[in-house]
Amino acid sequence: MNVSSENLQQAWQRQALDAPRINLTYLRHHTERFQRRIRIRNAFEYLGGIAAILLVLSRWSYIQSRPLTFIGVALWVLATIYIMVQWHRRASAQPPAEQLGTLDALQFYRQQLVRQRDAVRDHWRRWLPPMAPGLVMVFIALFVEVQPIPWTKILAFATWIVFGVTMAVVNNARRVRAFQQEIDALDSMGNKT
Amino acid sequence: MSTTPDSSVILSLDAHAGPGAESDALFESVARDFAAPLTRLARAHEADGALQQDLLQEIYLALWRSLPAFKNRCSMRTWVYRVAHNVAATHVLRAKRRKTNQLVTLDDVEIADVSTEAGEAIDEARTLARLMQLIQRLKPIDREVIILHLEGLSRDEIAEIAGLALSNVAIKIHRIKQLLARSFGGRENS
Repeated sequence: MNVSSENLQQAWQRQALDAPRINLTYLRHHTERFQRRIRIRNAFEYLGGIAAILLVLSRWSYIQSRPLTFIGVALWVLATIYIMVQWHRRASAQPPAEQLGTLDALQFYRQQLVRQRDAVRDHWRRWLPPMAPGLVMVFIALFVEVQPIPWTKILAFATWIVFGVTMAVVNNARRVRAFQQEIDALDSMGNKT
Repeated sequence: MSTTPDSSVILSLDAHAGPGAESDALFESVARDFAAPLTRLARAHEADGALQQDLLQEIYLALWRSLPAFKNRCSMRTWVYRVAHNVAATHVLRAKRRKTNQLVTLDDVEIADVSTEAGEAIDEARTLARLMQLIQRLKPIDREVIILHLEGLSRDEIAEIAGLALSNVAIKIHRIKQLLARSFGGRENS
C-alpha cells in the first residue's frame, strides 16, 4: 500500500490519545525532592560533626590529663559547633509556601539553587580558619605533652587533615558545578526565544 | 487536518501570573491542550515505554519551569514545542551515550535499516511503527523537523522552533518527503 505524506500526517496525528494527565501535584512533588535531598545531605553533615565530637571525647581520660590537648580539643569542638550552626544558617532547606504559583515556584527553585551554590562555594574558607587554632594547639600538645614525640601519630594526623581538606575542596567544587549547571539550564530555557 | 492546538492562541503569563491559582491554571490549560502532541513527541523520541513516561514528565517539568519566561515573545504553541524539543534532544543525546546505535542524518538514512515489508498490505499501526523506527534513527535536529512536519506545523513555525533558517527547513522538508516516499512507497508531495 502506498502511503502519501498527507496520509502519514493524518495517521500520525490520530495516534496516542491515551496521554497521561500531568498536574501541579506531580511538579510540586518533584521540586520537593530537591528540598528533601538538601535536608538529607545536611543531616549527614550534622551527624558527621556530632560523631566526630563524640569520637574525640571518647578519649576523655587522655584529654583531661593534658592541659594543652584539652584546650586544643575544646577549641576544635567549639569550632565544629560554630561551623554546623553557620552551615544551617546558610544551607538549610527552606520549605516553599503551599500556594506558590508557577512564577513564584520557578523563582523559589532558582533562589534555592543559588543559595546552595553560594553556601558550598569556597565553604572551606569558612570552616578552615575556625578549625585552625584547635588543630594547631593539638599539634603543639603532641610535641610538648607526649614523650617521646609520637612522630608517626603526628604524620598520620597531618596527612589526614591535608587529605580531608583536599577532598572537601574537590567535592565542593563538583557540587558547585552541578548547581551552576542546573541554574544555567533554567536560565537558558527561559532565554531561548 | 491538524489536531494540534491553534497556533494563533497567544497567552501571556504576565497577564495571568499572580500568586497561585491563575498561573497554575495557565500551566494546566497548556498541559491539557498539548497532551496529545507531547505524548506523540515523547513516543517518537523514546521507544522504551517506561523511558517515554520519564521523558514526558521531564518535558512537563521543563514546561512548568519555563512558562514564567514566556512573555508573549512567540505563540504558545511555538514555545511549548521549543521547550519540549530542547528536553527531548537532551534526552536523545543522553541515551546516545548509553547505547551504541548510530544516529544518522536525513541524507544518510538507509531504507533497509527500517524493517520494511514492501508490497505487503500494512495497516496504520504498522505504518506508524515503521515511521517511529525511522524517526528514532535520525539525529535530533532532523528528528525535530520530521516530527513537527508530521504534527502539521508550517515551515515558518518549524524554523522558529528549531532555530533553523527557513531555506534550511524547506530543504529538510523536501528530503523528508523524499524519504517518506521511498520508505512508504507514496508519492512525494510538494
